[in-house]
Amino acid sequence: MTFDKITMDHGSGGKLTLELIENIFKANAGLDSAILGDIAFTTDSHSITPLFFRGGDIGKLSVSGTMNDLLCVGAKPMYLSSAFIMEEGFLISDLKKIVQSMLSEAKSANVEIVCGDTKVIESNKGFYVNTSAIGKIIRPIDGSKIKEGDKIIATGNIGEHGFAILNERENLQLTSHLASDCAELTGLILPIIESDLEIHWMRDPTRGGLAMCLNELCYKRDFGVEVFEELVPISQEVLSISEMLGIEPYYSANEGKMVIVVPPKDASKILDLLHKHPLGKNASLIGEITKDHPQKVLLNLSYGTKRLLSMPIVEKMPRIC
Amino acid sequence: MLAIKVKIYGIVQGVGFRPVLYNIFKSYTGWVRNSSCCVELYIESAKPINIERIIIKNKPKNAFIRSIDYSVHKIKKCAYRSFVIKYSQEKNNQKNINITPDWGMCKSCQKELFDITNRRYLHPLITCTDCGPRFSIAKDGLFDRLNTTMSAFEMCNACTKEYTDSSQRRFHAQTISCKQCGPRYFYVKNNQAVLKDIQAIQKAAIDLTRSKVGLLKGIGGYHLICNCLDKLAVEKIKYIKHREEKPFAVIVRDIETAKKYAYLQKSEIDILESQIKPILLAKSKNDYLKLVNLESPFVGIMLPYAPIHLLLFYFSRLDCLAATSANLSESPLIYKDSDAVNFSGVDFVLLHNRKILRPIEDSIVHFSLNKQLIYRYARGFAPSPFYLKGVKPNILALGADMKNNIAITLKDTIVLSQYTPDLSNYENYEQFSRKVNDFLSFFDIKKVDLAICDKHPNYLSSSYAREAFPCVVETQHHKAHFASVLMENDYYGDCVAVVLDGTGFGDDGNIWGGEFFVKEKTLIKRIGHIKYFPIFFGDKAIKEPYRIAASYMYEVTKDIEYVKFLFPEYKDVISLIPKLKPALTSSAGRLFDAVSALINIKHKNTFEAQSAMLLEYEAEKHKSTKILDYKINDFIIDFSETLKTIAKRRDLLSARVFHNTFTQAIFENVLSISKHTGIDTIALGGGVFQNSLVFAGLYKKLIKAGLKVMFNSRFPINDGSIAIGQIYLAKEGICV
Ligand SMILES: [Fe+3]
Ligand SMILES: [Mg+2]
Ligand SMILES: [Zn+2]
Ligand SMILES: [Zn+2]
Repeated sequence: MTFDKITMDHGSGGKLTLELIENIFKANAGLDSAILGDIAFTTDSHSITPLFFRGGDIGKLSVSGTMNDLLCVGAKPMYLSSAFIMEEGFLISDLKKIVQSMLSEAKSANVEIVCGDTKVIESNKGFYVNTSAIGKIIRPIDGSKIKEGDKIIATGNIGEHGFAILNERENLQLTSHLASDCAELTGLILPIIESDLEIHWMRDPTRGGLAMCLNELCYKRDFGVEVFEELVPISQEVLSISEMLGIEPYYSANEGKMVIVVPPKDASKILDLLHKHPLGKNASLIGEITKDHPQKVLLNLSYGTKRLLSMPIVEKMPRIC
Repeated sequence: MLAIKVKIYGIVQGVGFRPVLYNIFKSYTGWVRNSSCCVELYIESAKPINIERIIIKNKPKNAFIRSIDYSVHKIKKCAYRSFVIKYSQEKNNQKNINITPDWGMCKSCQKELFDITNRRYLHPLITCTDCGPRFSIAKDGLFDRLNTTMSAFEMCNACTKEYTDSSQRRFHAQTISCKQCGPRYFYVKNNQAVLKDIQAIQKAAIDLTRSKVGLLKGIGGYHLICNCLDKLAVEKIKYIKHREEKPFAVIVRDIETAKKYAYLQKSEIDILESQIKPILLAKSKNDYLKLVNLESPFVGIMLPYAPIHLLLFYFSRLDCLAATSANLSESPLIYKDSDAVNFSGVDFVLLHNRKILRPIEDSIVHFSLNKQLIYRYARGFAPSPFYLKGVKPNILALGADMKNNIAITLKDTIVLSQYTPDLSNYENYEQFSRKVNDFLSFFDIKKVDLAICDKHPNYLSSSYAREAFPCVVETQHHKAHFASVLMENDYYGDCVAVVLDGTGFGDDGNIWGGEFFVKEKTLIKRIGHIKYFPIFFGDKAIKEPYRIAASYMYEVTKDIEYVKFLFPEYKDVISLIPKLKPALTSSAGRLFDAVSALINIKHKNTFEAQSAMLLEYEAEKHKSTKILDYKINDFIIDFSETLKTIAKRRDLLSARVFHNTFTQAIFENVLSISKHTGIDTIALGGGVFQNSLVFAGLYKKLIKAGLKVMFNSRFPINDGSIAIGQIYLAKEGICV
């Protein structure tokens, strides 16, 4: 299928986003942040409906997402810029709330917001935040050391942000307590980066969920990924929503989780470290790197069969004939 | 003196052609040999010979002659002293398509098997030039013993004598063996071969009479087998396969037994007894086989196609065995011995040591109005050559995802592969990718000029194509269904088509599946369809058809409380419907799902198309000819009135009434499209035609209206022939 226009699927963080980056921006869909000597640099734009949701708001999200992207390459977040594009008529009180969340999230990450920008557009055109950030590389983590047999760790329950947002946005009333997992992870991840334990790769499984994250892990590489359904931490609540909606939790976004690839020797030590932090209490080893099927992510189902966990391409399109 | 050089093309190797020719021409001098494209014959004769006539008249039973080329030259003297069979020529650059499918055992071998005076009395791997494994054991297209896994078995003196003696039935039978020199059977328990040969078989036979479940190695893979009248044993198989509700096929002792269980027409008996020996879905006569049939009014029945089947019947005195592919539900068939002996849950494994190179499942065939409809194209069918017009580039067509058969073209021939189930199961996907590579190397295709795949963005076969081949063309699923009918019928003129299917990706981004096309010259236009209705919840809706019924009823009533009232047990899910964004579909299959759920036949499927099948079975029970309201506008059929009425009645008779209404509406639409376009040739394609009421009902109406009707009979009527259609579209350069 070829496209001559941008579709929503181009922004879903799936295969089409990847193709956009490669074919139009002519950039490498590589790491979450650029590594520039001992500095890491990243940028992220945020648009979300609703702006305020259970578990956070666009302000919190715009800081945590960018912080987490820095952590991914082994950097300690230092400075943040913020830019707002807001529609005419936007409530000052809402803006205050958003800025407040940004500040408190930045504080929790020990980061300074050092510059910013504001633009106002016509009414009903939305509210967007862009953040850029600089971090200090503690040790570069660029995926070059990934080896067959490496273990894959997820730092907590998956799928919560995506389902929580869907639930609120569409007023599905599926649950009263599911909240977005939106969180900046410096407290959880920095100790690992600063430890002497080996880390081969890290990424926050945001848009496209765990499935997309793992596909990116082996994209154009000579190895593949094996994940075990039974080991992936998923809450009962997410499971039942997934069942009702017919959407798999593997494709649902996370905003406060990290996927970490580590050599087997350090896997349990890293798990121990993660478990010590409240955001990592459900951390779990979910799979490993394999040479058996390069560039493919396989999900081992509990009753013995295997399934390709492919890159999300077009949503809502049944494949079954 | 004349030298006559002959080339015989078609299905001519592995069918005993050389021995036949040897016997005809042994009084002359010259030779016969298999070359990579044909059988070649060289005869020296004083007088002219009517060579074509002689060859055609004496051709072996399973041979199919496509053409005979010959030339006659004058020579001064004979170059040969006798007539000989030459060993196959070294492989050259020419491509080869002479391999035959695996064939079920022949009557002569059957007779010998139980003839106490015969050297092969009770030999469990008896074969001859007319029967036995071919494709599943061949390394490449030249069917010579050395190219097969029979090369591991050195012929004994007695076999060598038969092999080289032109008066013998097994003269040049590549799979010849006997109890002394051939492969043998072993009875394996807990990973240990504890018995062999006849003892092994006898033990397995006794086990089968005692509620035991075994894994049996046959021709193209392993079966799970048990006594199909034994409740305990059948339950065990269901447990092993994780499969509660899907019927199992049975192998019955003989055709008389088959007639006891099923109503069989002549054409059905013929296919059961043919060398194809598929599973035949025939109408059950009684409920003897209810343990394996479950709710189906059909029984999937086959005759013994490997000698081991007959021996198990012989020693167990049973009449029928449940025989289902050994795998977990919807995973690939087990064909490796190492996987079989480690398979958990069975009481024994009965295997032989002739290696299977490629797994091939049982084919499934059904007859409607005495016409053959293929549901699964595998053992006995694949790989049969089909002839194309003109010389073409090497095309590889990757087919569809849910039922996958791929196809290749070799010059003027097209070959459809064996079937692989749902590619979303990774082991199936692996088997599919092995199959692609195997096919290319088997037929010696060094470069694929063009790969064709379905345009569905989420098809795994399509992403495979884009990753593996530089030049890829995408075709629309239902146009490929249509084109497969055109290809099979060698038809190039203008045509109207109705494709009734599950779901496929449409040109407009919606999900198609109830489509009306017009082909004029090289243009296929979608002229009509079943009116779009919303479908929520993605693949889940297809697995749980109540979701489709609910979506449909919400669309046509806009009253969510009413829909909740229809399905109170799912009111939580249903209350989501007004809040979600749907996809749109024109699928016929989904409409059957909706009705099935509406009248409470099936709310959730445990296997593909289950709810639609059960709806058909229910409809068969009623004799009504009643038709409900529907609307047609601009060749778009709207069944909302039909479904509204059914939702009010919710009786089982509605199953039948819906079939009547559906068939009538489709017929009416085809008829008016035919009138509108002036085209009176109609093609029928798509998986919904597996529904006998729809197929037979529509076919009869169309014929009665004076239209010419084409459909898939030699190729599958379902997605199994997508690859064939893909090739037609590419080859004819049809602008789609
Ligand atoms: Fe189809
Ligand atoms: Mg980001
Ligand atoms: Zn035979
Ligand atoms: Zn022998």
